[in-house]
Amino acid sequence: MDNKTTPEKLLHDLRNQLNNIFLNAELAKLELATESSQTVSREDLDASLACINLILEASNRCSEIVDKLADAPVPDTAVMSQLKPSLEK
Amino acid sequence: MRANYSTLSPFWSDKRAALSNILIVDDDEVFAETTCKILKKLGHDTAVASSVADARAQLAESYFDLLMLDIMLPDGSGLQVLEACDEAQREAHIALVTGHPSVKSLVKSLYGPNISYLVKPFDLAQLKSLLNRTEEAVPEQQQEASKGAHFGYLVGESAAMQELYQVVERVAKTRANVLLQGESGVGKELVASAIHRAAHGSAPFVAANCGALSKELIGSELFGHEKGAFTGAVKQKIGLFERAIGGSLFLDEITEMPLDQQPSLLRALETRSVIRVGGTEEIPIDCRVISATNRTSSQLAEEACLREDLYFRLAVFPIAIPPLRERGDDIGLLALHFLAELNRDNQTRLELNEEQLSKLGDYEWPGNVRELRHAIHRAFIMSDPGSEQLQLPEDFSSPFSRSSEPGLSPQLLGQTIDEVERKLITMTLDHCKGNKAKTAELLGISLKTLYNRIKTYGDED
Repeated sequence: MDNKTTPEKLLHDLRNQLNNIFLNAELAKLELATESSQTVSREDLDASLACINLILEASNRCSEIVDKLADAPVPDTAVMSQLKPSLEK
Repeated sequence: MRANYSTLSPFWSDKRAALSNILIVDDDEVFAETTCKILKKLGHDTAVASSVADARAQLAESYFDLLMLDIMLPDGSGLQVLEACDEAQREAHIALVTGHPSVKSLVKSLYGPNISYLVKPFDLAQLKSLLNRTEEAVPEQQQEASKGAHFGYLVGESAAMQELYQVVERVAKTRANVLLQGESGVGKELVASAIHRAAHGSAPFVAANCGALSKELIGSELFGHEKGAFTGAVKQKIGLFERAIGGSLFLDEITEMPLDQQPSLLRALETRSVIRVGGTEEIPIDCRVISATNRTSSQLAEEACLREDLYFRLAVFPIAIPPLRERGDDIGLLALHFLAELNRDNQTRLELNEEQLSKLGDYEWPGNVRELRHAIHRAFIMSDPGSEQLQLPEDFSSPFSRSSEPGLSPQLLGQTIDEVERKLITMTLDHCKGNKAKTAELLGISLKTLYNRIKTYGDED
């Protein structure tokens, strides 16, 4: 881990990527609603929306995990280093 | 898995979304590009800046209603952009977009409560909520005007409108079909939108004008068609009923629908299902039909422009929308509301004084709210942009204005005094909604005389 790649930075980058997934999924729904409702068959529309909703649900779960990670206490590196030799034995 | 159509709707049904100019300051290209597309879909203008310097340059050249600022930028912090807004963008709404929830409390303590926050990842509902808050942040007279909007659409505090609000609220709790009756320009579509909003929220609201649908294609428009159903049907089409599933279908000028097409509509309403033109499958439709006409009940009966059985299907709950002349108290409120909209859209601060509001209230507005709206718009265009006072024209009259000189209606010529008297009493009774004491007072006769006349008419019939 270099100096710039702190846990906070990783979480920040993760949130940015999740946000892009969220917004693009919402944009896809928006496009379907406004552009395709008259030209795409009902079955295709249902299937596309089901996929998008799955993406959104999965992203929501990821977002909750990110929040838990952010709230979790930082591991004590001193304790970790003490554990490591004992494990090697 | 069945798709939830209610999640599709807010964008085509949300008529409240005002156009805003939004600057997105973020170095994440994908985020900026996607947000731009979404905001454009919602009817807003957008610009993107990827750095503090870029944002400052754009702020110096253009006015923005909303700034969406990322905190961490390549050449500094979004807070530096915030400092550059002090004078030039005094009234812009600021939304800080951050991946750090903790930043929210920190910045709030530094810059006060008038800043919104979006913590990544955020969804469309949060983005729309932010835009609504921006719309709500309107100054003085505009705020006063928007306070009067009931159900997000209806403006007016008169007794007639209070009665209407109660009716809207009641019918919204049911799934009953509604027939809206009112003169041209009273706002039938807005009442339909209000019912829909009160009942279904974000579900689809699909509106169509039956007078504008061609006779040949009306079936296809309402019920959809299958590929190859007729010449030119190159692909399957979903009809208005299907698009409105879960929400409301608004059929304006229902009496303009050709009589020979009305049985198809009746069948759809009775069976609560449609079959696409050229198809065989019955598709269940679960939507409320709100129809509208500018014909009175007696005209509907006399002109036979609507089948009786269809009328009873459509008018499970009929609502009469009062003309503007019957709610004179609302004229000032509506005028202020329309002016506030124009001020907001044009970044102006024109106002109406008491004398002007009184002048507006004195006119009869035969074209109803639509005529008033256009009159305010015309006055707005003609007003001096440097002035703070709206310049009203001397005369509001239009080709449809009623004559100020009361004359004898040509329809009354050739009738006996008894016949005219009977018509006058009946019309006054209707006007007073059956209130006999009020009717007698208006006619200048005693209550006893009125009762005698009514009894005579009953005996004659």
